[in-house]
Amino acid sequence: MQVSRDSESEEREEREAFRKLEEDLARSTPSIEELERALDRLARDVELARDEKSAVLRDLERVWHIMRLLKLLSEYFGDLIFFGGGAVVNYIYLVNVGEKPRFTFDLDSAWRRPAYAKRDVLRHFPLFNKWLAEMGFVLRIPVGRGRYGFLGIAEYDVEKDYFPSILSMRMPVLTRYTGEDFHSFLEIKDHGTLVKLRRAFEEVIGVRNPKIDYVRFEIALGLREASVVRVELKDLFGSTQSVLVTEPELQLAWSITNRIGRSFDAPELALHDILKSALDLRLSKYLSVNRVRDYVLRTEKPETIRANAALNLRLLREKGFKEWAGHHYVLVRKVTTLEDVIRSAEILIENMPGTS
Amino acid sequence: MSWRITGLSNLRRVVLVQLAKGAGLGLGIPASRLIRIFNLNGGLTYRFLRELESEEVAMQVSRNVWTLKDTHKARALAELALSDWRGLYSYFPETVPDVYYYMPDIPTTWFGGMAYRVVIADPVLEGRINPPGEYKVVYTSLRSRRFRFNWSLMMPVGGREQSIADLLSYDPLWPVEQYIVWYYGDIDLDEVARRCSPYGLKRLASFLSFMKMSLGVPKAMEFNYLTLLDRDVYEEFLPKYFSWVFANGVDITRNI
Repeated sequence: MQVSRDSESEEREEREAFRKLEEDLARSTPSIEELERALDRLARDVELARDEKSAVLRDLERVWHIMRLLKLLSEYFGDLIFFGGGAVVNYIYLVNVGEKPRFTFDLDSAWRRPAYAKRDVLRHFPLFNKWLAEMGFVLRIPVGRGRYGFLGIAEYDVEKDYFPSILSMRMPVLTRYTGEDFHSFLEIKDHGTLVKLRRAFEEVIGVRNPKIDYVRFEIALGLREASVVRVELKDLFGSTQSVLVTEPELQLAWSITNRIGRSFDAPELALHDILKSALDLRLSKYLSVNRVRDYVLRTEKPETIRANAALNLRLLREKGFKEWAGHHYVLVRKVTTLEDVIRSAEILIENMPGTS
Repeated sequence: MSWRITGLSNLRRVVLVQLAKGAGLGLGIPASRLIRIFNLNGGLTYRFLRELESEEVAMQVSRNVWTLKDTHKARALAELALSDWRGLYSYFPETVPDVYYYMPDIPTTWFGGMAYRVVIADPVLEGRINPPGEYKVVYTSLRSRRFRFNWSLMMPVGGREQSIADLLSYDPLWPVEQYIVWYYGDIDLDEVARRCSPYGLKRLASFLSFMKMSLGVPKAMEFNYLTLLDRDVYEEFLPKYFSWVFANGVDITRNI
């Protein structure tokens, strides 16, 4: 009798868990329509081949997760954290001025309080995860025998954390296209549960065997003095983001001093970073170039910047075509060429007042 | 091992020793618990108890509880049995019936000595025993707790999950979380959670939340430790979590 009552309550609990999962899935993953709308907005004036369209859709799904993560971090941590890097430049600023974004799949941020070791920041994340779980942002996936796996919580990125002053974090998310098979990631061995999960996934997100991938984000510890602004802009999914971000002029100045104008021991290995920074400089048309120059000159001499930039951009012109052909730049390639991007960067640096 | 009285079986010796220890504290011995903890044959145990009753050595005081009779023969037999019962010298194994207490079976040795040892004891012992300061005695019902007599240590010890739950619940000084990090793949953490006190559960949930954030494990569990994280308990233990999880200098090399 006891056994049958237990199994009844277990079944009831499982039914409830699947019902909740379907509800949460709809909130934790973008719908195909949402992705297609974003694709239409981004590519309305360009012609994309079928395979290019699929590549962009695939990339947009990851971008959706990045923007969601940005929103959640911003909502929980408030003024403790600010954002910058390629995601903010491309998915918030550039799309708002009608430029095509390059795709980037991580989120850069920085801590605004004194942090002498990573533990000063890491300590907040179990509480952040508790908040996510309580707000229903965590996917609690039944894996059989009454057990559940969690997706959508922040984890220390043990594989990528190399730098002493940058904390690397990650968040496993459910995706349609990229990553590890969900059943192998969650180590699901119960066939009945697997069948029910596939049914639920197919019903809600239209894919029987979704994947699980990590959205990676970094938190810099030593940038708390950086100039920040709060922006309220629509991202590429049309959702308004109110976030604290690095002042865009400062962001571009870092692209110049830390990438294009930097002396690398092996610049071939930094080609991808140089290309990304050159593309981000497109934003300079909409900003105060004098202010960018001021930030650049605070850290580096103009002649050093000019000399390094000339070398790096020449190398990019000679050997950067492989990087340029990547799926990150599928939209940008439709409206400009690598040569134009390099030439614009050269002109900007050469003509930057005070650097010539 | 200490079976020196020839001709006496383990079962008979155990029954006599427990009755003798119980008599010393004025306590009866529940036969069913005796059978369970020492893994005795039930039929033979009850037959021996009835034999002792007919020989004027023991008597049944309630449905399941037996005690030593206050006769010369009973006292002599009890003394003989006790004189032969030698474990590691310490207060509990020497004087307290082994059906009324147990110790968590997790190695608990500090470098430089241990502050105290947790003993889970039946409330009937409260006021009857006077243990030395090396023990921290927690009086709580032993119902549905998992423990067995350990013939090497000559005392009852808790099962692994039970012991972890007890240390989490009653011993804030002992870093049992470190044991969870080392052996987490072999521990049924849901079972631990079921056996914890409310405080122990908060402590477990807080640590598992930290472990999940730091190491990505456990992959799946029954109980929702994320929402059970308790901010006060978490803040209390947080400084230790880093040295337990990011051990062997990883915290230094990665500036954690």
